[in-house]
Amino acid sequence: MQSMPDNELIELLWQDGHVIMHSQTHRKSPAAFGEVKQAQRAEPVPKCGGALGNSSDLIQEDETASWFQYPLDDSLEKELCSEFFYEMPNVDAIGTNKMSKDTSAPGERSIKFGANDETSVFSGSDPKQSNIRFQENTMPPPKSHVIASTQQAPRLGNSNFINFSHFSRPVKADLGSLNGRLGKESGKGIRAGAGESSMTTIGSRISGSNQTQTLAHPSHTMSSDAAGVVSRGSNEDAQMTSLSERVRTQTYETTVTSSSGGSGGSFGRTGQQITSNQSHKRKGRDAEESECQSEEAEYESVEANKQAQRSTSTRRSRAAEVHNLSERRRRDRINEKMKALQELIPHCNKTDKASMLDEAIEYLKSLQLQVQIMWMGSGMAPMMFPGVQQYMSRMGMGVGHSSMPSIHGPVQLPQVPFVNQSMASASTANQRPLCPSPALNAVNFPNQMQNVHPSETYARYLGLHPMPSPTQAVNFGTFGSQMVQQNQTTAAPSSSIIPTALEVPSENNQNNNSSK
Amino acid sequence: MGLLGPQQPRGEQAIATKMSSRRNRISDEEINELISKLQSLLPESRRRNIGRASASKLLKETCSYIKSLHREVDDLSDRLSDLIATMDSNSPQAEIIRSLLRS
Repeated sequence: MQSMPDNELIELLWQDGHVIMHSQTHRKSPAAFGEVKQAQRAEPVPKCGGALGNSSDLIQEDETASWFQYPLDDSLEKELCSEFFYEMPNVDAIGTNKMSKDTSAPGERSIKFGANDETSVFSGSDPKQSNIRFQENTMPPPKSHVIASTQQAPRLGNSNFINFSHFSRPVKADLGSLNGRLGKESGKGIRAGAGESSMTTIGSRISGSNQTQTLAHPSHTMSSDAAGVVSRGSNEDAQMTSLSERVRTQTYETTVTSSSGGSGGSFGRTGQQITSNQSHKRKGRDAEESECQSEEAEYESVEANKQAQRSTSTRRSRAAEVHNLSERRRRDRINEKMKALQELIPHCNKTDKASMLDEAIEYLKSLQLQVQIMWMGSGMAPMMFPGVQQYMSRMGMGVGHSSMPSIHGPVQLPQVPFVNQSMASASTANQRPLCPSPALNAVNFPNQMQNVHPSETYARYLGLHPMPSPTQAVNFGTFGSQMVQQNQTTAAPSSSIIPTALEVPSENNQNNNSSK
Repeated sequence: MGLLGPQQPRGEQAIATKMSSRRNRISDEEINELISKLQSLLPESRRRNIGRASASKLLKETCSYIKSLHREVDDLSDRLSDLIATMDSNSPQAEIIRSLLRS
């Protein structure tokens, strides 16, 4: 008997597309029905204890009226119809939800099941019956879908299949609801979540296709977490969640854009912000491990959307990051070279750049000087000292001879200025002319020599020894008789100097003389 | 201490670096001066009138120059030691050469 009314009921509902008018008309006199229904409902309770016959009668009455009244019943009707009317896509969910809230017989549920298919039939009927649910209409369907369907899960064992069917759609909704529930409305929260998902989707930020991928992913997790979601969200009213979700998603979007704008504004900070957000979020995630999976899932999908929005700022921030990277690389190169330099410089314990550079400069100068002196030493040594004559004779003139031409070439270039300065310095230092200059002239010192200092130090060097020797050497090495004469006049002890200096090209003498 | 580039660092580092750069502003100029001094010492930039080269290049060239000078010193030391071998070790020249070699 009960099945019959069910069938009838279903048929009625099915016809509700057309019958709705009937129901509406019926509704016009809902009071009677409602009262009757309520009376009927109330009655069975007390009558349960009564005779079967009575109850049966009542039941029959109920039944007779039920097919008629169930859909027409005010309490049911309004809820049902309102659901159907105002929430076309949601009808099944919310309708079923509503139905579930009522202490309804399984028949009702079956009706609802049937009604699920009929949602499309109900084209916005009576707007009068707007209640809180009406707002739900404006909500994105999937969300209420999810909530209702998920809420049904614990309540209606039968409706499991409904839930499953809805899962593909409710994914987004659930994510949104989770977003709302977690109450992370700050832009940082979003970006953190974005960062979290960006960790996973970092390679595919730009491609929008990944959004679908990320969405697909959560679906799996969502279905697995449906129970968890339900348990979490069961307390919340579907309406409220859907409402709040919507509001919050809007907030999210606005905050995302604002934060993305902010990130675009500060290039230098962006990378740091993102990383800091990511790190912050990571820490937060560790704290909420239980919700991690679903959160990540939703964040991934949410983040995918947001990444599309932030592409420009991402580009800008990336440019800034690139700039920072190049700057860092440049600095690293310089530091590396500084370290190499430090290693070259002996006994360098300085760490800061300025003093390091100072040391490097000093060391470079001293090195140059040393080289010059050594050149002179190696070139002039045999000719500098008193024993040089014998030496020369032993070595043969060829030595000097051979060295002369070779010396000449490079010597001439720096000769003049060098001579001037060296002579001046020599005179000031030792008051002995020419000591270093001819030697320097003679020596094939590297052309790098520019400073006066080498000559001074060389003079000092040579000052260690009796002047005659260098003089002799000098005379011997480069100067012609004139020089020798000069030296002899100035340096008394050098009288013994052998004037057997090699023939020096006159130009040298002339240069020296002129410089003198 | 990092060598600050000509441009100011931006972002969150700006504040910290600006504070330190106030202290380091003088050293920045010093560093630039030192670098140009270094450049003047180098043989390459002396010959042709090259404008200010990049710091890293300069440093690299300085390193290579120092290395070449080292090689030269070694060469000369060899020569001097050869020379001193041929001389009378008591002679002053030997003394000089020895001092040269010691340095």
